[in-house]
Amino acid sequence: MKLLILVLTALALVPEQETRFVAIDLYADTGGRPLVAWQIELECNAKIVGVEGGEKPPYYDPAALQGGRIILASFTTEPNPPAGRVLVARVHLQETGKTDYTAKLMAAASPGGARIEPRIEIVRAGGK
Amino acid sequence: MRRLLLALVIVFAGCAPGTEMPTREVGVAAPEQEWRHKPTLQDREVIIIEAAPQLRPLDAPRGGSLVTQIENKIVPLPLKHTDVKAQLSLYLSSVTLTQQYHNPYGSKIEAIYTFPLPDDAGVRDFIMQIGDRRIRGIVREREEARRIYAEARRQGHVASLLTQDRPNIFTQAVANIEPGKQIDVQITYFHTLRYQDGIFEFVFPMVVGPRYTPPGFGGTVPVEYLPPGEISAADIALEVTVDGGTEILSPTHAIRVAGNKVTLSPNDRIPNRDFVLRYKLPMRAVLATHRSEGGGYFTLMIQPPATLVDVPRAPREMIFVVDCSGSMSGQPIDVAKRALVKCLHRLQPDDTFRVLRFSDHVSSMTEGAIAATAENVRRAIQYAEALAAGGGTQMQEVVRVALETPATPGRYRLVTFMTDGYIGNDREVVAFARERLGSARLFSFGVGSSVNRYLLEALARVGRGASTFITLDESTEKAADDLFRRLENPAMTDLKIDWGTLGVAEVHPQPLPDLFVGRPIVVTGRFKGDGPSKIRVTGRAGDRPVEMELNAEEAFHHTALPTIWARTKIASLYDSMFGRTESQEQLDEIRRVALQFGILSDYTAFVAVDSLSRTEGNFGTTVVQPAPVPAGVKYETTVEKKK
Amino acid sequence: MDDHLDVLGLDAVRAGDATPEQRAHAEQCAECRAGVDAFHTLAAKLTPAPIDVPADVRRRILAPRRSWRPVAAAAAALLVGAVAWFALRPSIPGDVDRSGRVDIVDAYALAVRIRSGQLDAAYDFNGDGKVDDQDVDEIARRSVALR
Repeated sequence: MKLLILVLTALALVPEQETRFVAIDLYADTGGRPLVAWQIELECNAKIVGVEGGEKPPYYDPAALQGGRIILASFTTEPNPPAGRVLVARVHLQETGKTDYTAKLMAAASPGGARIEPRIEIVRAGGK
Repeated sequence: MRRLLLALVIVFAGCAPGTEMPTREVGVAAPEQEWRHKPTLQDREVIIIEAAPQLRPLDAPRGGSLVTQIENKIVPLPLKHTDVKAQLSLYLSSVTLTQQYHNPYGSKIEAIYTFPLPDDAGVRDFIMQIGDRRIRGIVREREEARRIYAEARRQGHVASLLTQDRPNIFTQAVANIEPGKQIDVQITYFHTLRYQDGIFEFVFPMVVGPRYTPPGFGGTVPVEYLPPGEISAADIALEVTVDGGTEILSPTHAIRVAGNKVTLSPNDRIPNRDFVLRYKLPMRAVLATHRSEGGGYFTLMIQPPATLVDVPRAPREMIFVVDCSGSMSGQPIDVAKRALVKCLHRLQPDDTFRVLRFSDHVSSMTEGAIAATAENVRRAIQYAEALAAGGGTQMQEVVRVALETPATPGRYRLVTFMTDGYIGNDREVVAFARERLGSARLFSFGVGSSVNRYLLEALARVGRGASTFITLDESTEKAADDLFRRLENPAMTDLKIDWGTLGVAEVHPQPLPDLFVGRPIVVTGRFKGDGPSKIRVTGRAGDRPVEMELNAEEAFHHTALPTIWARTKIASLYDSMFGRTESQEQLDEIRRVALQFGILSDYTAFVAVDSLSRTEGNFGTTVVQPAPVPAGVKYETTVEKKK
Repeated sequence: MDDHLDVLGLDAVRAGDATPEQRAHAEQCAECRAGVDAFHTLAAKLTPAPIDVPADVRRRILAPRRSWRPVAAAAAALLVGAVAWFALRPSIPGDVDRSGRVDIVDAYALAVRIRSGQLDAAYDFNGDGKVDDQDVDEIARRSVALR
């Protein structure tokens, strides 16, 4: 019988409080106008473990991931940009205990570059 | 769940994990299967799966190309395909590598794959693709990234982790791949190309060679190899876009060239040897810049002055060290011997020389260096032609012997290592060599289809020498020529650079390397000034001062520069600290730079977790993707011997 | 570095104490010569007054060439110059849509301009001599950089 070896470190290091992986979906509600560019500042005290979105994932500053504040942004020049309540990005987090997060719109535009101010909404997805 | 695991800990705590190398087979549907994951280097965390879930007898293979049946031995493997797209811009290269992992089994798996990248690669982007969804991974401090991955895997999420185990060896782990599903991992990295005598060389390494690890040395290099008779269906597609150029050829693979796009021929797609591409292109701009808000980054290629060949050379003592270990058996040792003989023929009467061979032990033709008389050279050629290969690779010992050869004052000592570099303790050997260097210079001559370029470049770097490479199908004449030209002519040393109005800071590598005939160097740094201007380089060649003015008015832009700068800085820091008492400050600085620029390093890793895909059950079975033994290397004298 | 002269450069040419590079440029460039002429006209009409140099114009001076001194007619000249020159290029490097700050909408605006062939040397934000998607990328990265 060969030896079985166990996940010792994982056991040792997993804190007593359960951690869980959740995603927060960032929505920009443009009220019907098409959205071609958006920039959102996200503050959150959980660990970011992935950034998802669209054809190419959004821009962000890698140095920001070590702290609690990150700016995400993206744009598209595709002919049929989305409109209405648009899921612009999904941030995967590792949470321990309670997490606070706030998202603030920094800039957004509709085709032609006209600036708009969509409402930003955060929806939790995943988790137990 | 935790209680179950806890119970298992208690039950099995008595069975101390051994440090032996476990043996295992991949995918053979035999009764009583157990799977073991080899500990990765520097990894105190050993992972195995609990009470062996039996792999269900293999379902009908999904997609005909995923499994290969050879003499009744089905070898299904998690790495389905690798796709490489490289974009070359003068001497800078940007490569996007996509690995497709899939699960050909009936139950969930974790795939582990250890693979090489160029030793100066700066890995900047990491994207995990699940179906249509693309999740960009994050760089975190290494242990933290491991913990995140381990926890995500434990909870059943699809997750991936990319770590750097050695300067040129990386491990990709992808957890919770459900049966029939595919997960793609896309990595983007940047590096610089070799340029000599007007010819660019692009190398894409494909397989890590089997490394010899001396007894007593703690770390192992975790690569599995396919035994003879088994092949993997994992193939590779490669496309390189060159920046112009003529005489585009590959000494290693069959290629197709259409305009400026080079692709692998369809019948040459087995990834068992490094891909080398060469093309001729005159260098039209040596300075590359990238401006951003925080300041500018640049790389500068400095070519040696043409006049180096005219400087008279002082008497030399040439020490040749030939690797005669098991991995060199067959073609590699033949090539090394031929090159050595050619070098011996070129010795001048006022040179002295010594020939050393090593495998498990070191031996030499003579006690010290002898004069290159016709008689001595003849004896040495006989000695060289009789060399045979087999056994381990005690490289540290031969470095000691070579550098402790009794010195003759007034002679330049040049030590050339002819080897494939297949050792597990490469960093330690480099640190050892640096400490005992004295005034000697080290040169390396890499022989083989997939040599350990990190070791060969590092020896040359710390030894203020130069490296030369030869693959198995090339002419020894030309390679020996290249090597000897660098040995023969003096280098331009003590380089100092006057940057003019460029406002330059933080130039790497530190210290500046010497310039050898036919071998330019690339330096990188940050700048604040107006832009390219006149750059003056001064130094010495032999006894004479030398001065060069570089035309840096034409500059080209490249987005990779911040990554290349950060990677070079990290390499400089690492070179300077390794082997000595590790300076916490330098380690922290490496980590800080890697986190700030978001790149992979020894102390940082990429992790990506999909919180939305939660798979059922335990975290499945770990399957380690084996690699083919490099072309020209014998399985029997290398991998098998270790078992 | 912009080849065209900025407001102060034009005035320096007008006043006769420009650097040799500025003079050489003005000799070859019709656009800038027109600007210099405009200043000549204004200078003839206005009385000397002390000048306040807007911060963003000052920032565009690459190196201190000479000590600042009051120039006749500069206040009104700057106003006219500003209208003329700012109509053609962004006031903050990267502020393609001239909103007053650099953000992702500028990246989008530049991407659209590039695709419609509207190239302008002022959009060469990464200094490589070309205006292309790499400049768009550069603006996007600047937008998300944390200070």
